[in-house]
Amino acid sequence: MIDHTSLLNNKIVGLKPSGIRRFFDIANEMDDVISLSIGEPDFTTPWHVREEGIRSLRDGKTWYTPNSGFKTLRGEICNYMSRRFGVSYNSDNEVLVTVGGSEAIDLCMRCLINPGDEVLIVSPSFVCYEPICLMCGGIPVTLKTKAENNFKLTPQALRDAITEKTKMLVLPYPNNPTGAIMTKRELEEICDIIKEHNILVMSDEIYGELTYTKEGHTCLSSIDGMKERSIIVSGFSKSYAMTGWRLGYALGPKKIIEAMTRLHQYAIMSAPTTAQYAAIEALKNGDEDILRMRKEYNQRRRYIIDSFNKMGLDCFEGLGAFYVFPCIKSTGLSSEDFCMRLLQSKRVAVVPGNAFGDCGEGFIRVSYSYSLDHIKEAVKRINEFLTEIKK
Amino acid sequence: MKELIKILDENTNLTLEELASLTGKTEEQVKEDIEKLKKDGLICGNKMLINWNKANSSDVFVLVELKVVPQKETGFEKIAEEILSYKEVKNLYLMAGAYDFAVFVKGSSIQEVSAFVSNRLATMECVTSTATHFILTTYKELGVKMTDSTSSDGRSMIL
Ligand SMILES: Cc1ncc(COP(=O)(O)O)c(C=O)c1O
Repeated sequence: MIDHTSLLNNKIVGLKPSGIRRFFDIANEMDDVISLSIGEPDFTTPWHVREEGIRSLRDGKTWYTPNSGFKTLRGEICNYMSRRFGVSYNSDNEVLVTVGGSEAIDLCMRCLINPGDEVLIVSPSFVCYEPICLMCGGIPVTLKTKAENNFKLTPQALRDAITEKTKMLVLPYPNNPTGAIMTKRELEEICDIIKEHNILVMSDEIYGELTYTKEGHTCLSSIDGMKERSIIVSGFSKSYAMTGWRLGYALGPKKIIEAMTRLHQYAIMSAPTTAQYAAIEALKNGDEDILRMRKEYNQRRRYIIDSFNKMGLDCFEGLGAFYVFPCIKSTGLSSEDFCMRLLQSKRVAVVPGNAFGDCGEGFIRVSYSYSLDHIKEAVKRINEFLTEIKK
Repeated sequence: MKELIKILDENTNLTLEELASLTGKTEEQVKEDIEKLKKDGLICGNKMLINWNKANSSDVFVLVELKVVPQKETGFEKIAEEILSYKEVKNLYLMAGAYDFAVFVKGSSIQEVSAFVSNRLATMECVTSTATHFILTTYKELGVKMTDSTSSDGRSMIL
């Protein structure tokens, strides 16, 4: 027998499987689990958008697209960025259509990181940045954020972490799992430091449209002097409820987008064709849909934050994405124990905060991407659970 | 206010406390708003939506198209008032198009409904013609689906 493990790439062997897998496996086995654990919209893709996908299939549009995506789609992405966030990109060479924001993240890191480069990663955050960094031979440096700073990246934390080896900052706001956002003012303070150094920022703005403040989302490259230092990663998954279509994009300086396009061309060829047709429709006529879903998320957000605070679990006011990140330290349980016991005794699934980095310990990620009735039932059960463990 | 109306349009079973959380207002504010909506007649009922498909009842539900001659001075209003005063009439709309009123009538049997249409509606002085259509199945009412399509969460637990 061949020992296949010994044949695997050394770095992939070193990557630990996500600790959360075991927890999900148990939850999946159980009946009538009521979950607040899922990280994608509960809405389905708006019908007019689905229809365009269907129409393209009916018309037999089943071929590859140009490597960087349909020209019309790239144009619409640039129109959208300028309409919504006031940034201008050239649709010929500053945008690349990818397989979800995920591929954009992968390409961006692979095209920029050399072995030994330090990559500053805000934590807690989405799970993919560190493993990809490690696969590139980069050195992930964790920038811990704290509840007392509303899980924002502080200028001091950034300054303290920068060395001459720093290549890139991964800036993931609005944040999964905390729901934290960065205001324009706060971003400007971060950018002032970035501009003193030769550092690029990969800004993962996939939840940008789900920002529940008057000011709304600020795109990093809209800040003075930042366009040449930013790669913006975004996509259709969250804002248009299109996770399954697998479509996203990257925007950035021409030379970097060119490099990413080269890698994409060899690894992927082109992003899904049907999804690209649907996405053109979403960008052209979907602003209203975004608004409608955001309004509904916002109601649930207020409801769920209120509920946790009333239960006695401190929950800071996350103003973005569709997650809240209540603190469970007052129960004396670890994140994993809390989640496992809640699952076993009340059949409610939420995600332990440490799944998103060590500094998520003591917290749980709760998604409000569920109907109000569903959320109400889950909240009721969590409340019962808290009463039981106090005894 | 608009947001509150929309929430109430979808749920009648929320407490003041819950409504306050959802809208980001205080309970007192929500209470005041609701009082005002009631006073202004925007909130004009508080009914559960029943799926009669499931009630195993032999009730008969019909749509009657009415053509009428509008009255001098009072136009359609007086006629509408007369029609809506019957308890058999569940919904009543003034229409533009091929006929004037759409009247939804419910009764416990075909005999009862046809007696109502021929004795009460058709005999009104201003009515020039009626056309009655039987409703076979209700699929959706007031925005709520009445079919049994199971809407299980098709999402996968991944991170
Ligand atoms: C912060 C963040 N970035 C990127 C992604 C990837 O999204 P997609 O590949 O569907 O565009 C996710 C998905 O959960 C996410 O939470």
